[in-house]
Amino acid sequence: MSKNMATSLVRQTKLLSIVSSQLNSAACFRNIHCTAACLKNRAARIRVGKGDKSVTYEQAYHPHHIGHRKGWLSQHTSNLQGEDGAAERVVEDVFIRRFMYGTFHGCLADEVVIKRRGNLLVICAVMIQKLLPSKFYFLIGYTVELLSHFYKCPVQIEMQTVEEKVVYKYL
Amino acid sequence: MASSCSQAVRQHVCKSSTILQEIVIPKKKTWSKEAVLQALASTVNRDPTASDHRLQDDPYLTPKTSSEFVRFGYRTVSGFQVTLLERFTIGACYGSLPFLRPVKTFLQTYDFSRAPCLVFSFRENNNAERIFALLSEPNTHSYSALIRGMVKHGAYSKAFSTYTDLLNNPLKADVNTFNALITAAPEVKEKYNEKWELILDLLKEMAEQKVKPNLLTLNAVLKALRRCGTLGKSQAFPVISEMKALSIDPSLASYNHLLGIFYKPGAPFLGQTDILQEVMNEVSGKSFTPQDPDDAQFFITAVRICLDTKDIEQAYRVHELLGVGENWRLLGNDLQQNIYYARFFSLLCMMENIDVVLKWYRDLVPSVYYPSSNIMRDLLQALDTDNRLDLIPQIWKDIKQLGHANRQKLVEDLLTLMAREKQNQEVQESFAECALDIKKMYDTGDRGKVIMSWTATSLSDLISVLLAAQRRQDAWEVLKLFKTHNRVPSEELLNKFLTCITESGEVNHAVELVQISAGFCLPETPKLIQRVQQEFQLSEQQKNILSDLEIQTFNSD
Repeated sequence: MSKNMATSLVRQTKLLSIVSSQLNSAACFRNIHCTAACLKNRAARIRVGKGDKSVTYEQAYHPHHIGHRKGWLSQHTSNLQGEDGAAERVVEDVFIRRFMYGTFHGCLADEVVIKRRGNLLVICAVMIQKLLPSKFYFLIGYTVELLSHFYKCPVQIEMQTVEEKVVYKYL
Repeated sequence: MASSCSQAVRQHVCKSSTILQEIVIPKKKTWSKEAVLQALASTVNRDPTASDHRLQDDPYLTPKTSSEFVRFGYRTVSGFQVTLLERFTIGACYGSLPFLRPVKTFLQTYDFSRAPCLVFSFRENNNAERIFALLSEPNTHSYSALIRGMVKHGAYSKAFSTYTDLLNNPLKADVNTFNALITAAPEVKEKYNEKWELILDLLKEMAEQKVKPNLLTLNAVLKALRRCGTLGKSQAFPVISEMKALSIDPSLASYNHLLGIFYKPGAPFLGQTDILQEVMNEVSGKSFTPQDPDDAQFFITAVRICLDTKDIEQAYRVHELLGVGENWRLLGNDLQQNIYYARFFSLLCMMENIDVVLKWYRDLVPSVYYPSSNIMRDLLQALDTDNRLDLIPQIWKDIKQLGHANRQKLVEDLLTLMAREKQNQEVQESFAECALDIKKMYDTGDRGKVIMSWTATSLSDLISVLLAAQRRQDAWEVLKLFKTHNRVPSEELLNKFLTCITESGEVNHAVELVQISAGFCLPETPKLIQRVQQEFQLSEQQKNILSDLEIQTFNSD
């Protein structure tokens, strides 16, 4: 998706420079809005389909249900009045989610929940019992050590396992 | 009542006013930042239902046996270590690495006391010596490191010759060198008094060179005294008192060596039980910090002595000491912890009654300790002594969970205990269930599992248990196993079986039983035949079969 964004951006700036030069020369000052389209009404929503697609509770409820029927996936205090660092937390969260997705590939049953308590970074994950417990412990040790080295803060993983993905409904 | 109260108050006021007390205003107490947290933490005791803090709180990820527990720990650590490699490759891109600098400056500027030890662990002794020779000006520090390395790797006489070089240089040795040499002293001499002479010489030289001894010196001397036989016993206490005079307090390692001097494993104990008591008197209630690697041996040694001398009181005191302050850190790694709890628990099984044993069992297992199959056998013995055999099915469940369900000796003990006496109906039922479960363990298990083999005793025990619970059908199937596994049933068992069959009135089974007995050519077959003929109403065919068998056995005699 990022590649698409990048190429469309490049194309659009080229287009803009051509068009705006033409426009300016013609004494016309209408500009073109050229960011990529971010569809707020399509993000994090799984659309109703034939009825064969299994969906977890997290996936079934749409973003406007956050705070009403869903909780938050990332908990930190940067969004409070007078606190800063919100953007950095977001970037860290994105990295951590991709890291967990890749390290425990195919094992994640649901989204990773990230909690920050003071300096401590707690990553809560629900896993499918796809690997042996000893393999899980190896990956946990690896993740904890690498992330704590990377972010220079203590990292803790709280893991829970389920036999298979918990289906809420079929869409 | 109010008047008498006020009267009493007035009297008290008069008394206190007459005695003029000097009011001492205490100094303001400063609390550390974590004082509140520490106070709260002290109110929270260990939760016996919780698993170790290093584990994840999930049933799938909880280890069931001690081997699993250790393996999970190792796997976590190996995960850590993999990241070191990754961090190294990432770090190499960003910074210069220390060993890209020239070797000489590295040796001079880098912490040389650590470097030879690092070197020694990766290469042979001679390489380290070559590096040492490269140094243009060896100082006390480098000599000390070299000698310590030599002692660590067993080159004791070389260490002493290096020491003489050091003295000839002329340099003075530091306290660490002396500690290493004292450790090496018992290795270079044979006789006890020669060893002690050498140690005394070293200590004298230490005094001459004005080197102050430290705790590690005390521990090294005591450790060497362990190798000095009876001389050790006479010299140990004087050494400790001298060190105390120099204000060196003994640590747990010193007490450990002391116990090792007086309680040699396997030797008979004559009037030495008071040493442990005296040590415990000294040590009780104190909180120790780790100061010597041998500190971790103290608890194991102490509990071993309690086990050998069957002293449960001292064992409780040792365990109490473990609960004081930070002493739990001194229990050592997982293996040492396992040894400690194994000895402690087997002492409990031997000495205490079953209620106390079970209380400790529930407290320790499996949150802190995963018992081995030997310990489970001790536990069964304790159950037997106190006549609580009704708890056997519960213990069997635990045995299965711990992964000891395929240990032959343990399972055979279980069966024997269940079969020995007839219990009441309820208990007998539970025994029968348990016995059938055990039977499943003997069948060809999953790949990789140790398969147990049936013995005649275990089969008979199993059948007795089943018969006592009126499970005739199951017992019949087990009886057939005798043939398949080439085991011979005993006379007692067959008689018991026949009695059971008589109760049920199954004539066919009776005849089959006799046929089985004849198949094994057992000497009691004629008696069995007689019994069947007397007790049962036989059909013509059956009578014929029996008379044939009778003739057969008669002929074979």
